[in-house]
Amino acid sequence: MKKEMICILCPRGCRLSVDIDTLEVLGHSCPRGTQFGPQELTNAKRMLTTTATIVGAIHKRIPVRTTSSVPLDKIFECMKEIKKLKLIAPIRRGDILIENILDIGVDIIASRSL
Amino acid sequence: MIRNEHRQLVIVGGGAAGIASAVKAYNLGIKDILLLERDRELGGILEQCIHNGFGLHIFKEELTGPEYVEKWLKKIAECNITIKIDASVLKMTKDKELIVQSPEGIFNIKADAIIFATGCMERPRGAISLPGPRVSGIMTAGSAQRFLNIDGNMPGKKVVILGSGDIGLIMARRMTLEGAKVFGVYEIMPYSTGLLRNVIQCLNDFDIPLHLSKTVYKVHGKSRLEAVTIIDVDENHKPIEGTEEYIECDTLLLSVGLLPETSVLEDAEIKINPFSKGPIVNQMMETSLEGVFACGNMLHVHDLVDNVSLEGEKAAAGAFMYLSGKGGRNQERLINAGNGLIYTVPRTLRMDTDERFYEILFRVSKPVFGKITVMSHSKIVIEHKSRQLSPGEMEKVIIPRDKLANNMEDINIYVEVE
Repeated sequence: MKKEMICILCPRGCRLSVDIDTLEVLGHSCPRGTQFGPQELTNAKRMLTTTATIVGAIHKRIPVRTTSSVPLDKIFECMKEIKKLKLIAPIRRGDILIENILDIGVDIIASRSL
Repeated sequence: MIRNEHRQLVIVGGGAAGIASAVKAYNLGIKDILLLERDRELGGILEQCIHNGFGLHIFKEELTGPEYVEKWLKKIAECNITIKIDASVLKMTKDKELIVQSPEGIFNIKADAIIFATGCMERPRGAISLPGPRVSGIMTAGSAQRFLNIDGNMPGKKVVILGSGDIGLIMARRMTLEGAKVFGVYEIMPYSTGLLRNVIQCLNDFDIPLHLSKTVYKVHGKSRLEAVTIIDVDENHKPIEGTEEYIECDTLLLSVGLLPETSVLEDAEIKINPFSKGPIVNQMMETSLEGVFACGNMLHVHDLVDNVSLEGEKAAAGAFMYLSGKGGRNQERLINAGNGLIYTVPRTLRMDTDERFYEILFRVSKPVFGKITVMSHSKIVIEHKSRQLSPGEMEKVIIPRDKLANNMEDINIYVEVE
């Protein structure tokens, strides 16, 4: 059986067809599609971008993100952890704000300097 | 007394296009550059676009908006450019004199060349005739994005989104992540106007429904929005009676299109293309007023910021040529947006340069399976393979100079549907 899906790794949006048993991918136009298809089928993952509270900067929020994609079903749990952050300026882009969030091997980093 | 200043090059707007054009202009050898930004920091709209997906072409990695800006700020810090923040251009004359308001007061700047990089604005409620009271809780998706991502204020809890533009889709996810209930995205067209990947990762991931061929018919409430009435529309976008649906909500986000910000240009009677809504330019990004250049979303609305930056660099190269005494708009041929196209950028080609290729950007008017074709002197010059074309995605053709006959005949670009 085949599962049809759209690859979301870039704006091109290739229409992939993934074999449910062999995980063979058709329809991709770059190697990233062959990784995305099976991953999406077995354990969909997404990058999480949001903001955290900061004081002492020109803005009250600082944008943050995960260092790599996290399982889709862990997104809201990650949000809960990030909401607990109370940061103080200065923060540099790339600073690790939460190390190994929820023990899933992904850090939360600042995505700008403030 | 109003202060007077003279500058070789003034760049209006410190977002993606303005920053890139400033860096490029400096590196080309223009040493007297003033960059004006109306906000309190450089970066433009990217500072509130905290999602990722920027920079794949230029930096070969997927960045968030603020990360993309910071990489460019590093480049601009290496250039000796005067930057004024909190500075708005109020008016421009045909002699390239700018009236600028800033915390230091109002002053005049006489510029040898000007690059406009003022971005675009969202179509507001007034642009779509939305009947009902003037209640709070109705705002553009971009305004909500700023309230939430920069100021940290949640615009509402029960949300309806009108229009499936990318900002609307991004905000559907963003509001959901922050704890709001997003009832759905309603799109008057029979197709989504945003990128497919955003429908998947912003709506499908969170079970937010996308309703096509539907629109908001009425808004209800006293001081705050209390509900909206949704209605089905026919193929002419006319409401179909009897299909009304009442949805209680406190927030309506509008994501119904973007318009280039050209108000200052219009004062100086610079010609606007009625289809792109931005100024008419040649391949140097020079407008109908010599020495005035345009780039980025104020020229035409882009899908990818990388292309905005690249266009800023093109405008800088154009300004450099003009300032080197190689300007002139006498030898130009027209590029016509033919069947299936809304507009092209550039609209004209200057033929007295030594370029070997011309890059022409355009949008198709509706989703179609067809081949992009370039015709000049009654001959087909370029013919792409047939494929699916969509108004949501900017298309381009590269025309080699030697494929064009040595005359001034128009160049026609159209979509051939088989």
